[in-house]
Amino acid sequence: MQDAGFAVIVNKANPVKTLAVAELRRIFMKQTRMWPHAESIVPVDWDATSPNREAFSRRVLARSVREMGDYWVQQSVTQGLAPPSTQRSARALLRFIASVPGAIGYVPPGDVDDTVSVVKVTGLP
Amino acid sequence: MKKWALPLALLLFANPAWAQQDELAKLRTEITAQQAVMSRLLARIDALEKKLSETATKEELEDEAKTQQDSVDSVRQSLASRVNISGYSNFRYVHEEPERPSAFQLDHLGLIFGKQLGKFNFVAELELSNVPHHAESAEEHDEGEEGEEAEEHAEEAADISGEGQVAVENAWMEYNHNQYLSVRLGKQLSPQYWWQHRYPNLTYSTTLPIYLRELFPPELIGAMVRGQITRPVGSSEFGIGYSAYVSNNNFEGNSQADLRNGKAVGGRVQVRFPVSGIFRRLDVAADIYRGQTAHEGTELEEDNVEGFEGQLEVSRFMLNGEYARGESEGVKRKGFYLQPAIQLHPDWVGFYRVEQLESPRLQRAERRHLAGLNYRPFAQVALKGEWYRSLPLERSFIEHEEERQKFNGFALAAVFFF
Repeated sequence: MQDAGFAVIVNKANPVKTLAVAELRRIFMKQTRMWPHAESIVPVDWDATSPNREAFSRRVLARSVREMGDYWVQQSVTQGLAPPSTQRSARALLRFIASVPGAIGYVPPGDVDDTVSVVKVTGLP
Repeated sequence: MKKWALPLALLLFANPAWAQQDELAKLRTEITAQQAVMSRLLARIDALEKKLSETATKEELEDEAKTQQDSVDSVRQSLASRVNISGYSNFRYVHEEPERPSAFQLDHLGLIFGKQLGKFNFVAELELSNVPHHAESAEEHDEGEEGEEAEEHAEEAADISGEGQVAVENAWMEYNHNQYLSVRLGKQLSPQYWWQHRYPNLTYSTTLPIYLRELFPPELIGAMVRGQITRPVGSSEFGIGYSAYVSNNNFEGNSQADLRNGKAVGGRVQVRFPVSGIFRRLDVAADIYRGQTAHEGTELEEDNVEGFEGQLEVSRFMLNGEYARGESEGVKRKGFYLQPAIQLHPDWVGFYRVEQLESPRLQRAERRHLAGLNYRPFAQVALKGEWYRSLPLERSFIEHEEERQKFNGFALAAVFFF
């Protein structure tokens, strides 16, 4: 995962160690809402202008940030779902994930610290 | 003292030049060593000072951490308690030749409330519309009735006053057990693609395909179970989704009561194929509906509908299509639409749609061609323009000459999602 330019991170209490990219996509599109251990999934994303988000969006979600905007408009009207909340810095994202048990996000590998766990992602294109 | 004593003393006790050089070298070595010690001491002092400095800022960091923690807690709390409010507005201008007057319409103003609590999700949608809520059904009345009643309905259909009406479009609660099983109760949209994506901010055209309301009911009041099974295939996935529902039969006022024992039932199976490269989407689905419907008056008739659909995305090209046929009391009806579209630019989409309806019970057989452009500078804003041409189809069940007239029209719309 680290060679992708980002590391997917979860709360330290989360027992999940590996995710297939299709499952990660479903999580960030809010199609999967619960962890296997029955915790609500709380995806947290980068601000829409962030290059980290554009790279993640194209690589994992197979859509540009703009196209994901269309997707969230559709989800809002048909499912009542809001897009993931956003943070503007790796530090803020790490703190959020360290504090929220079901949270999942991604940061540049160099920003990972020991307050969170890194999840291995398989099947990345 | 003898004369030789002094030189002898000097010879014995004074250092020679080479000895002094040795002394100097030793001194230099000692000074260098001392300098190294001093450097180490200075480095140690620096380190201690730095450590001291860090100790000083640690408290500040703790304060900051606490502040951030409070902020995260606050966000968390607000996320848990937040009701997601969104909505859309659709303003439309339509002009049809030769008979109907042109009109401005605040076609839809919708408010959507959504809330998620763990495995439960609730959505309610209120819609203000100043055109007949079911425009095509108003046309049904026009075509199926005669005399004063028909005139009344015609007046309703022509109402562009803006007074409109408020309708509860959606009000459902869903329990999402897992991706394989969720249960949705309440008033909800039918599961077919267009009904699920019928909102003006999601469609390219300003109008519904003409056949839609004549086949699958647009919405249902009842219970639906649905889910999907997915398997990763490379970076994509293969998925099979299903939905099955039982609902009140399809007639005006069915949200209050359906006094028949036999309820409507329906189901859908959708297959999502894995995609990669320029292939971005390939979904196909089949639907079935068995129920009763009111066409004229209050008598309900058996109504069976089947249909299939597909969505394809290849690079910048998109293709949507749906086909459905129905049978009620031995009278068959059918219709379809096919809509290719192309992303001309990140902000621009061009589309074409051909659609057709053949319905003896509506006395309507029509093929329509639409072509239009969408300008979408943001995901939340759409400006639409389209031209369309309606061509009557020669069918033996068409009795009235006015149903055999061609007409053209164009429409403009401004949609805002918030």
